[in-house]
Amino acid sequence: MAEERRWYTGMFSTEDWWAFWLGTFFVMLGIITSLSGVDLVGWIIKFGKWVAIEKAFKASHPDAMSPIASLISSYIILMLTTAVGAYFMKWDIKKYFGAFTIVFWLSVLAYIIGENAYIAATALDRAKYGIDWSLSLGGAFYIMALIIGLIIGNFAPKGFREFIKLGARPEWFIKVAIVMLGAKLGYLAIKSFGYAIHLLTAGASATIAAYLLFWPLAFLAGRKLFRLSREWAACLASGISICGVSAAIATAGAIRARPIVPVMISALIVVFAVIELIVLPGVLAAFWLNEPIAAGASLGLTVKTDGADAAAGAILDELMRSRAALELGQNWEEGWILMSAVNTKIWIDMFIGVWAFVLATIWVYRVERRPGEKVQKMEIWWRFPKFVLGYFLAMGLLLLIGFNLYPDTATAYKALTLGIKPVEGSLRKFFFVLTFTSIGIVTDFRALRQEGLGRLALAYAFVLAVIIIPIGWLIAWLFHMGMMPPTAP
Amino acid sequence: MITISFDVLHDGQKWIARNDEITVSGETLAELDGKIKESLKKTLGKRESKVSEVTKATRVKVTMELDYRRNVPHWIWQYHPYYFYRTIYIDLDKP
Repeated sequence: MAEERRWYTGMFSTEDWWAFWLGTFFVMLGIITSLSGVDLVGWIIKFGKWVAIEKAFKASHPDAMSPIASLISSYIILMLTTAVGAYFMKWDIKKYFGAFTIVFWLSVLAYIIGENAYIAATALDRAKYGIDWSLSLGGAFYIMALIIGLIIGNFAPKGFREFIKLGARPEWFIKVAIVMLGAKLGYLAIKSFGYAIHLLTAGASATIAAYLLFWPLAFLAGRKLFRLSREWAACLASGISICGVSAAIATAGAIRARPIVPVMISALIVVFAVIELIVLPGVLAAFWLNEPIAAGASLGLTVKTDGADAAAGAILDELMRSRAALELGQNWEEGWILMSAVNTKIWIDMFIGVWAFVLATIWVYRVERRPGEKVQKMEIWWRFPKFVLGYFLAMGLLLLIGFNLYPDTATAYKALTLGIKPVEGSLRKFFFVLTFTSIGIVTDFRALRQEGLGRLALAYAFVLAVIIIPIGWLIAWLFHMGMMPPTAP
Repeated sequence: MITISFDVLHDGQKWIARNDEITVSGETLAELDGKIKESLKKTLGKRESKVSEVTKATRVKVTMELDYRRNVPHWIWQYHPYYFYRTIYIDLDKP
C-alpha cells in the first residue's frame, strides 16, 4: 500500500537497478579472474563462424569445459542470475523460467544459423573456412534473432505471445549488456585513453546540442502541424527526441498526464525503433564509410530505445568493419562504432531526470498552477538510469586497475584479457542477441492499426524523417567528424 | 506536520487516490486534491481527541504515487522505473 518514496526506492525491485546488479556482477567475475587467475568466466559460451557444426560454439576458455557443457552452463547460469532479479521484482518465476528458456534457445539457434560461414564470412575470410562463396552478411545472427522474434511477436497465437513476453525483456537485457560495454570501453581505453575520452566528450556535446533542437521542434510540430493537445505533444516530443519509451513515461509523469497517453505513444516508439533498426545501419554503412564514428553516434541520437539503438550500433559495427576490411584494406577494432552509438544514447538517457524535473516545474508552477503541489529535486535521481552507474563503474574500475596495478599499459591489457574478454566479448554479444530476439517478440506491428493512433503515427513519422534523423546526422557529424576507429593488429 | 500517502490510479475517466482509510476520485488532479483536503478535514477531525500530534497539525504533507503496475502494461516497466510521485501540502485551517 501507499508508502513514501525514498532515495533507495526500487533498488531491488526495478529492471534498471537489476541491470546494474547483474552487469556489475559479471564484470566483477571478469576482474576477479584477471587479478587472481581463478577462472570464473571460462564457462561463457562463445559462438563463431563455422562450416562444420561442431565448430559453431565453444567455451570462452576451451580448456575449462567442452562446448556442450559450456552451452548448458551458460543456460543455467544466465537463467538463475536473471531469475534472482525476476524473483525480487516479484514476477511469476515459474512462467519466467519457461519464457526465458524459449528466448534463450531461440537466440542460440539464431546465433548458430547467422554465424554460418556461407552467410557471415567476408571475402577475406573465405579461404580460412575453405569456401569459395559467401553472402558476407556480418552481424547476420542479430538479424536472424530479430526475424525469429518478429515472427513470434506478430504471428504466434496471442496466448503464447503474452506468455513469452515474460522472458523477452529487451531493455533489461541491453542494459546488462551496456554495463559490460562499460568494461569494454575501460579495457580498450587502457591502450587508447585519449581516444576514449574524445569519444565520451564528443558524445556528451552532441547530445546537448541535439537536445536543444529536437524537443522544441518536435513539440512545435506536434502542436502546430498535427494539432495535438499539450499533453500529447509533450509526451510525443520527449519520446521521439530524447530516449523513447523511457522519456515518454518520464515526461507524462512529470506533466501529470493520463497514463494512456505514454502507453499509446510507447507502442508507436517501439515499432518505429525496429523500422529504424532495420533500415538505418544498411543506409549508413552504404553511404558513410568515411565517417564511421559519426555514423555510430548518429544512431544514438536517432534510434529511440536503448535496445534498438545498441542493436543498430552492433549491426553497423559489423557492416562497416566488413566493408573497411574489404574495400579499404583496414582492420578496424571491433566495438568502437557500437560504443559511439551507445555513448550518445547514454548521455541522452542521463539527462532524462533533469528534463523531467524541468518539465514538472514548468507544468506544476506555470502551466497548470496547482496550489500546494511541490516538485521535488529527488525526481532527478529517481528518474536517473541506474544502469549507467554500472557502465561508468565498470569503465572506471578497469582504468583504475589497468593504470595502477601493472608496470605498463601493454602488460595491463594483456593481463586483463583473461577475465574481461569473455565478459565484454562473448557474454555481452549473447545479451545483445537475447535483446534482438526480445525486441522482435515485443514488437507488434498491429499496434499501428489501433484506433486513434493514425494521426499520432503520422506525426511521429513526420517528425522522425524531417527533424530527428537529418538533424541527428548533422550534429553527429559536426561533433565526430574525422574520428576513425583504432585499427586492430 | 504529518505525512499521509496515497496510491493513485486512473480508470480512464477519473483519478482515484486511496489508502487504508480514504478513497476519493476526481476528473482532474486539482479536483482530486480538493477532495483529499475535504476528506482529511473530516477524517482528522474525528481523530482529534485521540491523537495529540494531529490536534496540533494544521498543515499536512500528502504524497501520491501512481500505481505503476496497475496502470501501465508489464512490458513498459523495464523502460522506466515509475510514473509520478506527487507531493502536495494542505493547510487544513484554510478554506
